[in-house]
Amino acid sequence: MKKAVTILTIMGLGLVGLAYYFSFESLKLIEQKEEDDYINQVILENEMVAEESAKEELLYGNTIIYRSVDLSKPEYATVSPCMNRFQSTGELDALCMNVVLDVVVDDFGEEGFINAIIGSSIDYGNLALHPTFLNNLFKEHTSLANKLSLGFLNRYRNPDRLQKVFNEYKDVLFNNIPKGIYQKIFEQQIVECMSAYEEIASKNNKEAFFEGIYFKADTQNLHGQYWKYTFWKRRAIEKNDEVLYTILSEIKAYYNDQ
Amino acid sequence: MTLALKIVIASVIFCTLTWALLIKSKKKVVTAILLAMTGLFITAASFYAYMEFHAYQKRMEKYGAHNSNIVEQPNEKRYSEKEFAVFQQFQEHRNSLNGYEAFLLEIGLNEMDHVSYQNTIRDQIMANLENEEYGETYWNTVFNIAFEYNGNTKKYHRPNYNAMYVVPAEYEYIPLEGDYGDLNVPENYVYFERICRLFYIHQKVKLFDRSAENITNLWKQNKSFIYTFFSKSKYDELCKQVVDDLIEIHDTLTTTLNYAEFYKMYNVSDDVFLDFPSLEYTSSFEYSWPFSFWDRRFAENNAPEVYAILKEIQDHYKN
Repeated sequence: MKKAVTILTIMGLGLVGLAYYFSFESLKLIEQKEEDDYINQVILENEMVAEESAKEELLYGNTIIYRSVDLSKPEYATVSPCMNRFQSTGELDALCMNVVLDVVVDDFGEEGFINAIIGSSIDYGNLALHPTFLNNLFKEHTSLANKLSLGFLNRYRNPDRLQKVFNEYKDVLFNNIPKGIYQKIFEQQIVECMSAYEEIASKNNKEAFFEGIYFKADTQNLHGQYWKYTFWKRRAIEKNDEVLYTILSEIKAYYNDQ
Repeated sequence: MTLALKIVIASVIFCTLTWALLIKSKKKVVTAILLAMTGLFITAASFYAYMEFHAYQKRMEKYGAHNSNIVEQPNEKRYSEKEFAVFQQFQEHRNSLNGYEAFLLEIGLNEMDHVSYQNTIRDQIMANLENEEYGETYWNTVFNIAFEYNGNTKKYHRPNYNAMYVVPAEYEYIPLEGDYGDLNVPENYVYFERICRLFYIHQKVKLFDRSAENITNLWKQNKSFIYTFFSKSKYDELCKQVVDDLIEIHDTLTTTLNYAEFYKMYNVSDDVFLDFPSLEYTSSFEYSWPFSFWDRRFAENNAPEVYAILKEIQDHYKN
């Protein structure tokens, strides 16, 4: 009997020891978990702080990086009266536009100018496509920068030139714009434009379709809403619709494959 | 102290007491009671051990293995650092375009800083002159600036002659940063061009390598231009006096005893300097410049070569 008692106590002690071991391990797990939670929280907070400050930097980034060009004598002789006239009338005739644009493109580079236009199309407050970017571009009394941007874009309405400039810079642009930014800023617009193109292409009587669209747009003042259709009508008139659709498809395909 | 540790200590105390009683007591009843108690103890201990084991297993399942708990959750709506850098890059380009706008608008307001445009023109003028270096037009330009022809008096004079010689003292400051007016007006431009060329000549003379060898080479390669430009009458009017004086003074100085030692003295005052070889001799000239000229030539170790050139010029115009 005495032996039984001894064995039982030793076994009991062993079991208590085992229980203690497991409770000790549990405690370790809990501590580890708390630590991980804390680290995760710190990381999250840091990320949020970094994001906030980056957003703020963009929001207050509407400064001017002053650029001065060393004009040659003949350049100065043509640019100066052009700018004089622009100051007084707010207008830039075609010849002036050409000269002034050449001066800026020469100094800034084609790529720089393209980047600047992409830069103007972004709303840095909301990090989205700038809602009034296009309106500003086509407004009658707009800033010189907008006028020059439009003049620059006008140079590529010719389908061959458009294709050529796209081929030249697509690699750089694809490299510069990561998928995340494409998706958040540009994708929706591109997809909408493409689906509008496909919708138009599927219509048998395109003229009737556009007549209907323009009628609705004119009578109800809904040009904004039908913009994606009328956009393609204008491209068709300029005969660059097919090239542009191929370019948009290539852009979409590139980012879908990423 | 955790609860688990308290339980362990209590168990140890319980077991020690049990053993103590077991050894001391001889009564069977006590042993039976002890057996019952240890029976209860072992049941409770097994239950406790099972509970802890179960809890541990559950936690293990829930939290997984250690160290794998730090997960970065990618968030679709959030932007990464890299994406912000991209935004910033595009924003900077847009800001640059606005910078060009500001620059162009300033031109329109005619408030563009004259200096930057003037500097561009100045650099062009100076580069043009540099490109023509040591050609016929180059020397023509240089001499025409140094020796100006006055149409009214029908005479050459030397208004900018001092640009041609560099004395240790600085050449008078050319106010290149000043406002020269609208450079599209021909008169303004011509004047500005002269100033720029003068500035170029001055810089050139200052930086020129005055080693004996270099001076001789330059003279050999360019003397034809100089002889062409200076006709005999022009030479007689503009240079003869200076050349003759320089040669005459050189001859006198070099025949004086100890002249080399004297001119080796550095920065002597004018009282001493102009007493050599004698005050009478130096004051017989209207200017003291030829003396300091030779002082500098001796110091630069190019006096014999310069003297030979001057002599050659003098002989050339003798007839």
